[in-house]
Amino acid sequence: MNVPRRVLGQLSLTLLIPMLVGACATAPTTAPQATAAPQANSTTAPVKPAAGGPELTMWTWKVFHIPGLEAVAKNFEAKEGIKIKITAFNPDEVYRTKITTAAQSGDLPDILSYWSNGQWELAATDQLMELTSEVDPAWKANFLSGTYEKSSVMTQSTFDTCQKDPKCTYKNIKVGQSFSVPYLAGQAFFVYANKDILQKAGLDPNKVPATAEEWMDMMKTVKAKTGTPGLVTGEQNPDVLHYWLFNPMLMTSCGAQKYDAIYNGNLSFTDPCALNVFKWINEVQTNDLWMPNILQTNIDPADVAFSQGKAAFDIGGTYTLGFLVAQGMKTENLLSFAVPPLKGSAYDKLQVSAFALIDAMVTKNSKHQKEALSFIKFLNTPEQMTLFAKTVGDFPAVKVPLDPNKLGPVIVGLMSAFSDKSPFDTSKAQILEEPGKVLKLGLQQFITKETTPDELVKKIDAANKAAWDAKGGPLK
Amino acid sequence: MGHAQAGAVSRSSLSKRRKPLVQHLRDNAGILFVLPAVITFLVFGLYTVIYSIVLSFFRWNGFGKFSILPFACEPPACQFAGLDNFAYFLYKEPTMSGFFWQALQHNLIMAVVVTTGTVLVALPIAIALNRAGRGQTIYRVLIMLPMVTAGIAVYYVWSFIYEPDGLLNSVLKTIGLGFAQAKQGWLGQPDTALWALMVVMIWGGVPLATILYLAGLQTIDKDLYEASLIDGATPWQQLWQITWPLLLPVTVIIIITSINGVLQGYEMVYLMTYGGPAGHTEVVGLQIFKYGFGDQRQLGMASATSWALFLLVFVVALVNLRLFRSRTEA
Repeated sequence: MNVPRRVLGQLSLTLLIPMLVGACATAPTTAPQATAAPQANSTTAPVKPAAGGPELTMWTWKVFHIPGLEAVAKNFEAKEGIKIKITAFNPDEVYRTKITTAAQSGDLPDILSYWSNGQWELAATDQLMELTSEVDPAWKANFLSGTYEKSSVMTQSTFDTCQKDPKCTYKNIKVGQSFSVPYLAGQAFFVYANKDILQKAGLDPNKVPATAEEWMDMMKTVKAKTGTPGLVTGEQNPDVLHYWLFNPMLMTSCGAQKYDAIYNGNLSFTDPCALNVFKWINEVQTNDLWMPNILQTNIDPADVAFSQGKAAFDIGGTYTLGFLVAQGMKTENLLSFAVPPLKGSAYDKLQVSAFALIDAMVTKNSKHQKEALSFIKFLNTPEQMTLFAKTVGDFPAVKVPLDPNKLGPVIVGLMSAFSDKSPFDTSKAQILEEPGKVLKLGLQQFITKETTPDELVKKIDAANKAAWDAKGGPLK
Repeated sequence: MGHAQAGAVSRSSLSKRRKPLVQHLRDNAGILFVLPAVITFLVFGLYTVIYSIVLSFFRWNGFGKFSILPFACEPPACQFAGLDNFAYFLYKEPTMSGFFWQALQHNLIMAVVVTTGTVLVALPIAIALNRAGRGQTIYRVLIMLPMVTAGIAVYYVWSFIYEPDGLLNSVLKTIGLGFAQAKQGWLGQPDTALWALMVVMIWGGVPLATILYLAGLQTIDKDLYEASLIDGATPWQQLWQITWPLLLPVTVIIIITSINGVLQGYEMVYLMTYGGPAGHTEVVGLQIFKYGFGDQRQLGMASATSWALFLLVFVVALVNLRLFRSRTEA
């Protein structure tokens, strides 16, 4: 084949130009990390041109946290002259994928937000700066009880379970090691009631049910007198019924020791204290108290439905209140209480304490580790956490002054409801993946009438035994 | 051989060494033209396929080192699992395998119902469109609308239609069929959710099938119909004896693309039900997505399940081809 030189020249140029353009595009000044994910739904806070100091990057998946983090970053810049560029990638799956690919290519940001307790996999692969010796006693003292020491430090029980599990991917992390600090906390286990609906049903709108049975009666009355369904929650997400309703009821019904023993494979789910919880949850269905289409209702739609008066009660957490208020609900129309215990439970009231939800961490590939560490320490100060909490309407992971003028009445009200100690703080229960799946599916199958409490406890027992056997026996 | 001669030889051999490169490029310029495509295939096609095969034998959470060129698998984030990934979801782990087989069952039901439904709806529409005189273009545009509408918008609209107080229940109530309403919503009840999804799938698959059938119908010689009329054939006989056999190759394409789409697709299920209620619309594709991008990030497991699904799709496509080839050849 005879091809003229001109054609060959043009062809060579065609091949060379994209290479040259590509080479230029990879220069760090023209391709900032935060904008390198066109597929992701990303939101970037505007950043002023750098004026000398370094510019650090921070990633999160919570878009509505950006104003809060930005406000803190602005104060940090004023104090230290260091800019922090905050970027959100969502939804969760996109954020996880973004972090996975960035970890592979060494493009992680300086500071990373991640699910509390999820940091171990990143730490195990040397992606994070170790903070064990950086978090000094003064810093530690800031955190709410049950946050830092529970999920940011490798505990003996988490370590033991990991060592026994052939699938565990963070066996190289030692007890006591820490790679992150929490900045957002909260807790599920809260029930919200619509006072207007309670009043229409002839119930006392300010009376908190003392037991689960009383709560059930209230729901039945509402349904009978107003036709409004009793209960809504984001049941499309299988974790919701398990973690937000079943676990708190199991804890109060059985007590901490039995709770741990049941999950850790040393006691059966057929124990009456557990079986009664399953029976109570099943009765919500047999009494037709769930909102219609409940299994197709996710967390946000459930809260929206509740705010529109489509159900009398909504199961959620501290984070639910801000969302309900944002939907137009008035706080004076809301009654909130912790998930009530069954009659004859081991505990007559569920003590609820804060739980770490989101941690901040410094990445190993950061060229400004010292500055990044300085920022997360600054973020954790009570003043900045107050600012963050007020701006985003969410719950800080450190102790802040309960001043309604600084924090807003909603957050202060919620924080006041917390106890210093909760049985969950000291719980050593390990909820394994496989029995967890059986449990979650089973709770949904109550609603589809495909299983009964007696059948389900046997299935969970079998799955729990198999899972613990695979790990070398129940956790002692 | 003198110096002069030796120098001439050496210059000549030098020019020979230079010339062949240019000449070679000129003679094989075609290679340069296909090179970008070949490189793209090798990097984004073959490499990723091989990567995925190798990954299916490992346990890897996406962090830490795992690569095939050069090979690297750094524990504890990466561990060799042998056939464990396959064994876990096929039989070894009862919960996991239970979910897999249930999802596969849903996939197979969908493949049969959606494909049959698509053919049964698309063929009469195509025949009617083929006979339509005026306004054929408008009808064609209308029939194509579901295909060109953004999937996410369509799925949300259908979700609203299926809600307990949605359009479908309202219509049923209005026409006196209130007893047939789905009280928990059509996507919220285990007995209706899968069927409700399949209706949307058929609705989405009919436009392409109709266009393909329409193209097929326009290639059939009209003389065949005229001759059959003279022989006294009824319209029904014309359909079964002329139209259907001659459209069989088109039907094969529709069946294979529909089965492939149904077996591999998950986005509609993800958006409309997320596998619910209580796993009644779970499909293998969605499980792969959850393994790969969920909070567990079991990328090896996701790859292993993907290859099991690939084998299934491959075998089904092969069987279809063989089955229909013998018929079309006969």
